[in-house]
Amino acid sequence: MNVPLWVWISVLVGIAAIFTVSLFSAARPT
Amino acid sequence: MIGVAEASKWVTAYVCLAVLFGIGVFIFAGPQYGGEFFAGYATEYALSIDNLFVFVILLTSFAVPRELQGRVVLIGIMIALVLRGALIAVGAVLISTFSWVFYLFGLFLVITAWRLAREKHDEDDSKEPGTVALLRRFLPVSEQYNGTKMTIRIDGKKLFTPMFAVILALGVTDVLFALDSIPAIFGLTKEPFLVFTANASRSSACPSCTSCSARCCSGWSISRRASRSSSGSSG
Repeated sequence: MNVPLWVWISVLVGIAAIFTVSLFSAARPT
Repeated sequence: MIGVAEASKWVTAYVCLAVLFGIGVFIFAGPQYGGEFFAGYATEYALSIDNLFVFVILLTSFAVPRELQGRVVLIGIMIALVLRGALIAVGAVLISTFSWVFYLFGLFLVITAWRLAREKHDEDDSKEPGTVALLRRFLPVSEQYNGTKMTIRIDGKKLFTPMFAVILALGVTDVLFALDSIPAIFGLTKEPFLVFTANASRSSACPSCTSCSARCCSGWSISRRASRSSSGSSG
């Protein structure tokens, strides 16, 4: 399986986005 | 920390995202790799169930205020995912360079299974996890939290807050769990991309799953442990 670099970068950016959204969601007052 | 209903929605969303990603792998890379991703994801998810309870124990051991719990778990998981990525890279290089390492991974899993089977289950659940005891021994940790800050100055002395200690404990504990889950997933696929994405998919749902577990366990024996920890050894 030959994974192009742009796929790796897209996946890493996607994961970073998910965690950022979750972090803002967790920081929000309940 | 979010409630059970909201946490369940987040978990469902993350599972759907992982399934969509798996379908994408299935379409663009072929059914073999798609199958390997789903097998790896299911394995990681199954192996992460016990992590959740250890995370809840860590949160109660450090008496983490409810409003900080979500952030603590999330940052701990983010650190752990970076460390897991490094472990996966090392594992992939080892397997591609020395094929016999694969058998070493297998032996490690057999030894882990043997140790688990022989482990005596003590009724007394008051013992702290090993990582907590180790951190308390080597880190100057204060008794009180300082909001979301990692350090606090008391009498001119700089101390780490329990927030820092619990994040570190969560990250280290998660990586310790990875020591058996990563060899297990390398047994299913030799593709580092699939191993990493299966780990990332499982890790992204972990904070919400921990919220669910923490809320569900709040009326169970964990709360007894919390009351013991907060009155005795927190800080």
